[in-house]
Amino acid sequence: MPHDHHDHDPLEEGAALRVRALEELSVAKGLVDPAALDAIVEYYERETGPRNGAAVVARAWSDPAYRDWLLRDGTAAIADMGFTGFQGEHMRVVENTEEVHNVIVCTLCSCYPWPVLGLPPTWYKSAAYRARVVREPRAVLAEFGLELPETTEIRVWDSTAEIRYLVLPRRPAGTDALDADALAALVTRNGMVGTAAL
Amino acid sequence: MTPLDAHRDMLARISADIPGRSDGGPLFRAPWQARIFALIVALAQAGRLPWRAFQARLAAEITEMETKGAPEGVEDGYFDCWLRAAGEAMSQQRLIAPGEVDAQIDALREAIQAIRSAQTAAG
Repeated sequence: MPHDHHDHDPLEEGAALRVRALEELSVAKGLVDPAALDAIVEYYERETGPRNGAAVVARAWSDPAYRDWLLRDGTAAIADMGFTGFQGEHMRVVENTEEVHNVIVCTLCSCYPWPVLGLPPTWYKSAAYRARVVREPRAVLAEFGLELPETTEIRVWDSTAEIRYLVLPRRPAGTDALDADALAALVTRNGMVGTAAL
Repeated sequence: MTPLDAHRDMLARISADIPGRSDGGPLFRAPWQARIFALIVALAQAGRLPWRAFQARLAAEITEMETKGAPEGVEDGYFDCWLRAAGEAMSQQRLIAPGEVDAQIDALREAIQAIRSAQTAAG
């Protein structure tokens, strides 16, 4: 399993840490309902949202040359779609196949390819997901409703400040006639994190 | 202006203010920026933080930043102002007590340290 120790986002420093503290205090004191907060964040998610990633996936499904480029040099191929916003870290795209299923995590904090996927969902940041998906990925995926055959290898990719991952999901059957926009509509955030199949 | 209208208005204003935004670039440059934005909107919607009180703090922060001259990108400076205004408005409204945020930050640091140590031991 690819898993090294490296420096993670300065996420737990400075501004991000302060925001997290304010959020936790507000929830602990009952000032805000965490569900209401998530709903608002989701509203903004559409601003930065996973549709950028969906457009990348749809293009890769439709254009084999782009797919090859994306898998070889994710940073450049994604930048070609106009999605930059990265702060020096590299994007690596990992492809799901019949034999291999990929899932991404950030074991230490919540490094996430947000320029393509928007804001990380709450579960992605939870200690339970971060710890468990590495130890028992098959069980965690089953809890997400994704039952993979025993023969499918599961690879877990640990995101860092230097490298972010995006899962290229398998194209659903029966979608040959669809254009890129219609394909993009099929691509979900969880599909690109690897906690769902499409 | 209701909080919801106000946040739409603020969203439009931020969008207009951020250089390069017109080319479809992301509104928020980091997840924390969206989260502090959302937290303030949620507090206002829940009636815990009067929108006007927050807006006044934010305006003061922005004025101060502009007086000093924004060090880097306007977009980053803008959300730094949001964050400072959030902390101050919440203290002002007595939603948080003095020292509480720093204590929470320390607790978070400790929790993160514990995860790191556990990982090092396991790895």
